[in-house]
Amino acid sequence: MKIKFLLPFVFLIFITNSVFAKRNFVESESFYKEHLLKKSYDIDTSASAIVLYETADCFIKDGMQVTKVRRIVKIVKKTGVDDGNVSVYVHSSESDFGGISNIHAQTYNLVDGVVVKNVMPDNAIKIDRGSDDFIYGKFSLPAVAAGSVLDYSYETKKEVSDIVADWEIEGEMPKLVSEFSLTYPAGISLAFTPQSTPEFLQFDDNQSDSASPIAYTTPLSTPDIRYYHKRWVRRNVQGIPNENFVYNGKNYSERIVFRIASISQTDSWYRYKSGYFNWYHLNNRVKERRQVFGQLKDGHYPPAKQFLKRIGAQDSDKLTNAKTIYSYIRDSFVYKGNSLSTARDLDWVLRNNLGNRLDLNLALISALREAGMNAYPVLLSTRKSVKLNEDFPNIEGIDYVLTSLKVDGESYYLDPTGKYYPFGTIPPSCYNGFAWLVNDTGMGIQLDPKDIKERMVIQVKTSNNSLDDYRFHIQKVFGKYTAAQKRERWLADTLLLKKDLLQDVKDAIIEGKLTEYKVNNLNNPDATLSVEYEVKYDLPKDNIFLQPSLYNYFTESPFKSERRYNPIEMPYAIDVNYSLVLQLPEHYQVENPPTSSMLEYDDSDYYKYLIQYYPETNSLQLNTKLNMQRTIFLPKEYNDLKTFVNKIIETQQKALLIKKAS
Amino acid sequence: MKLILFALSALLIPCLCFCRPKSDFAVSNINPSLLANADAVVRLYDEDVEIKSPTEVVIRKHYAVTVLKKEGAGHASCSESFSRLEKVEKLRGYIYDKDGALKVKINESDFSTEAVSLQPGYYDDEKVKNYQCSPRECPYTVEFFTETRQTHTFFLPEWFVRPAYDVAVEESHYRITVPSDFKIRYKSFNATLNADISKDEDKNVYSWTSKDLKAERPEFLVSEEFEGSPVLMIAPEEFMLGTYKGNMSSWKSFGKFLYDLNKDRDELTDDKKAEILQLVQNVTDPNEKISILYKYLQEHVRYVSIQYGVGGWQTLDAKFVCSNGYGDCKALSNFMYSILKVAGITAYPVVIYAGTHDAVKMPLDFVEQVFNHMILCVPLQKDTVWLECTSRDFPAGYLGSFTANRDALMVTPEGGVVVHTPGYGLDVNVIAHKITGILNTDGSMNLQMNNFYSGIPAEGLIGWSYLSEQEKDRFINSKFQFPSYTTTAYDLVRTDKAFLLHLNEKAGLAVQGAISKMGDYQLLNIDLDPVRLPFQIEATERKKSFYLPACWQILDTFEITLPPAASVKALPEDMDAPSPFGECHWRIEERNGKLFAARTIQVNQGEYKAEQYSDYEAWIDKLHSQRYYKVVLQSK
Repeated sequence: MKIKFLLPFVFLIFITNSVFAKRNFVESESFYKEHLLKKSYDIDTSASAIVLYETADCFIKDGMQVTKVRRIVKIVKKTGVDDGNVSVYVHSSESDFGGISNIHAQTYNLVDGVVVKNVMPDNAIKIDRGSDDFIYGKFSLPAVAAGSVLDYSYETKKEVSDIVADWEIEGEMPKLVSEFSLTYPAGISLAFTPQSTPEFLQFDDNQSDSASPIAYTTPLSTPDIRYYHKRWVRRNVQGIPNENFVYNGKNYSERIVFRIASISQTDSWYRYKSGYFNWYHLNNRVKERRQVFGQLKDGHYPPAKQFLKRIGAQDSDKLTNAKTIYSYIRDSFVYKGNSLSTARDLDWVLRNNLGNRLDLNLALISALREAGMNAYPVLLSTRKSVKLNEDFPNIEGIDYVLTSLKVDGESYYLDPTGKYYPFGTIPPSCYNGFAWLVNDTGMGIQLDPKDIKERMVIQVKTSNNSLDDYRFHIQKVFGKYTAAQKRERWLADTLLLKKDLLQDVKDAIIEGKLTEYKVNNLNNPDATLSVEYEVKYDLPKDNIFLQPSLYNYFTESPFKSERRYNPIEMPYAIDVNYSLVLQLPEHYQVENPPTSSMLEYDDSDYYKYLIQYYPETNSLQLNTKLNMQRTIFLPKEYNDLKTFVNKIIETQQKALLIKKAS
Repeated sequence: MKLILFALSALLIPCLCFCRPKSDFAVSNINPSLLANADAVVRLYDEDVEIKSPTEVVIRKHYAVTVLKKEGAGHASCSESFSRLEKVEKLRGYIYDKDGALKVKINESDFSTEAVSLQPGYYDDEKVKNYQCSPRECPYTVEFFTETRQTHTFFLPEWFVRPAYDVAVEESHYRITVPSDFKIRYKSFNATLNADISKDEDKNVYSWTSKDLKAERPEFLVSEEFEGSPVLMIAPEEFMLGTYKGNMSSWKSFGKFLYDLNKDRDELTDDKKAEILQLVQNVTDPNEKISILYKYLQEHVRYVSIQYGVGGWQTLDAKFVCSNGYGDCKALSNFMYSILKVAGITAYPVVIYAGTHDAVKMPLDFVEQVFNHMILCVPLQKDTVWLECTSRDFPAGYLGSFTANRDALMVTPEGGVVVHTPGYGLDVNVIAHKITGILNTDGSMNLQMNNFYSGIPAEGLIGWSYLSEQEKDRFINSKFQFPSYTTTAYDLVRTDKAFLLHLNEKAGLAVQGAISKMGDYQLLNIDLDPVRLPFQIEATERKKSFYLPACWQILDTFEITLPPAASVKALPEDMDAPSPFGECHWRIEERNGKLFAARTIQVNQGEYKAEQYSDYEAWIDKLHSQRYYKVVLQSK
């Protein structure tokens, strides 16, 4: 009995000793003194704080994982002192054994050339439950000032999940050394998925005297026959760049996901928790689980039949039926939040016309199937989440479900919660790469941003060319995605439509007054949304300067940084068409009409500016077209893209001088 | 049996008082005139505050809100906080459909419990019990019953008749019952709320009622407090906070309480005293001493919020700040007070309501706990120095827009003294652009900028030093409003002057596409740094007065050397735009192949009538029309 009790204790000591036997950090006063004396670091001379060394040692045992974290941070500038306040969060329900413990911290300062250590008192630590599902630990280190070195450690404990760890190598601060080690039962097979990392070389830093590579992993060791141990080391890591036109910076930051690939039969202690080792495992689980898609039937489903009868979806044409079913659910069901794992009783959902995102998709799929069509759920991550990985189901990224429909040989994606989207159109944020279609076998699909295109048409024409009452009639026809945003905004408050048009008139390049306006199909998402309005201009009596490209997609360049680190991700392909038919005021004429031009980034991305003056009718016509088919541009293409956009803006600035005829 | 009946009736009576027939909540019962502009309607609000003793206050609320549209869903929630000083005793609720039929019962176990302050560096004991109704078909009604208990009378619940602009109120009641020897005071804001006072044995009962309050469309630049809602503030004359007894009958007595609560917490260690004396040993000028010690404060301590129980109002002692190097506004002010004291300088803590102009103002004629921040006042022989002790960026003596120009309470050993913090006028709040440039024959332009910012306009730029290289790159390449440019040089340096924030900006820009080509002609925009004033279009008639929160001015000079082959064909006319809101002047001329432009803009702080908003809009349009200011150039 005593021996049984002592064994884990002995083992822990062994593990602890082995994981700290590392060459990248040796506990000594000279280490602290060296960094206390240092004023800046080549890795980033503007950084407020630098991680000198961090390590996370994760130990998996009996369905729990304990992670010991230690971090040593140099506060380089006064602006970095808030890094002396630390928060740690651990997912934990009231019923599990998750927690945070063993928080220790000290601050090192140099006083009169002597290293002074201030130990954080226990009363500076707060560990508490933040809500029903997480615990937090907070602490503030003492005596933090520019120049200080902070050294803190803590331990977290939680239930093991399929994704064991997500080692985020890049963080807000640059790092000189970041290490991660795993000790795990021999019955578990682990898989490691690196993202944006350099190649990790095999290197034994305990044996070799040669210089450490910038990224390496130590040989697999067996500290105990029941466990494996492995360590990864990354040196000299920049902080995460924060750039515009990036769906989610985490898709490009350096990280390694550690996940369980399989478990041997002998490790029954863990098996009951596992199941999402690959997409097919996930497919089978979600297909069967009642709380997810388990209620979907292949055969007839009487509640769905009654539903079809109730809404009158009994046309002989399948596509017509599909549109009726989709429109009914979109318009008449109340959407109650984005739960993807708590499906209500489907019969109840169909009778009560309400449910969460999962419920509405189940209702839609069951009705489409009952109407004789092939419809399946699709699991995906939206752009605000991390992209899904084709190699394994990173389920923390899954945040949306859609319906895939195949009818008459055509495929459609439907979002019954997309109140402002027409049949076959889903929000652009759903186009985020890999997604998973759930059916008997399951299959990966690609929702590629370049597959969606936003087409806008703006037409401006002179409606009255009297100098005293000069007017333009403007019509804007919105693309599907812009229309959805406008509908949501304008239907919430119809005054916002007028405000937006007034702002539009104010932002235009010549001063004018809105005289009348109307909006078409605001309440009908299946029809094209457009606005028409009339603007009266008080034109000067002598020379009139006019930039004929009155409405532009790019009013100023969004690409202003000198350097680009991440790819540029545009929301969708665009096709923006603008036309101006300008009837000059009576007795006025154009002096020096501008010339047409064509700008090409490549074959599919171009801008046309075609202008023609017709003296016989004293009118001028401008047609512009901005076509950008590509949605992803690599960092190395940044400068060319920036130049392309700048040239577009320059072209749009071409002006006319309209003079009174002599 | 009699006892059982009595017990049952005792249990039922409060319920009967609160409960109304369910059909009352049918949406069809709402007065149609209350639906305009409303996202939600308060059907009933009943707050019953019972002061049992200075250390025991029971607060019972019963309210029902009908959510008319999804934008009003935020009002379908119930949130009650608890801490060492207050606890939640009862919570329950109901959800009704549009016809007033009961659909859901909400128990206390359905409420989540959440910590309030999760961010690093914030410590308190406050948590909240929260229920947010999940989205459902509108309209629907939520009804909640809550009971909470607080162990102090330092502040008493105020009555907000209308919780937000987009909410209408059918009826709202507030009642406070106090022992006959417990004196309270009250004051209403934004409306006259009359008390109905009655006696119930040895207790005084004060009650107020308000009915049929309409929702309003929020307007831009309004200065009214509490979103225009009628509000009743209640305050005791004598109160208890923890074991501390205080009096709130005057600002003097309230200040005395704060003094006593925080006194004797200024002791420093001998080592620290010696260190402080060493810092100022050869300095005689008190202003210089203050600057040295303020810099010491900024370099050695940081802001960390620690507010457990009474600690929300009682400072941590100076030794704590010494040994830990951090503290909240009270602790840092107290630490600064302590080190000034060691240096022979007397200072006083000042409690204040910090925030933007439309935040809560200190009501001079009604004493209550209205403060959320502490600063320090250092009266000197000739002048007074004000210190914001939580800032690591401001120069000594500069308060900033967070606390400037408002009433506050200075805490002295003799009691509270009402003071007014300094405001920053036109002479302080200045932006000046001095830009010289060369226009090249290819239409590009090379600019040299030598700008400065002082006072409030400079506050937004001091964060520059916090940015990473990459963020700085994006900042400087987005700061100027040319369609396209490259920054060849940039520097932003602090040049603080005598207790004032001051920044110098030097920049070199290579601007592309500076001109619009027009055949043989070229259009050059002379406005090299356009100014956009705060403005929002009103799509309907303006209802409320508006205010401009600060006065400031812009003093610009632009000088552009033209290409030798270019001549000026036409210049924009000089412009003068005087108005009650400020002034704008442009002067543009050409001399010896150079364009010279001078612009001054002055914005006056003040409150203006609703009917002046269209004039303000016209004035803004005129200012913004500078973007039409084009110089026509022609090739010679």
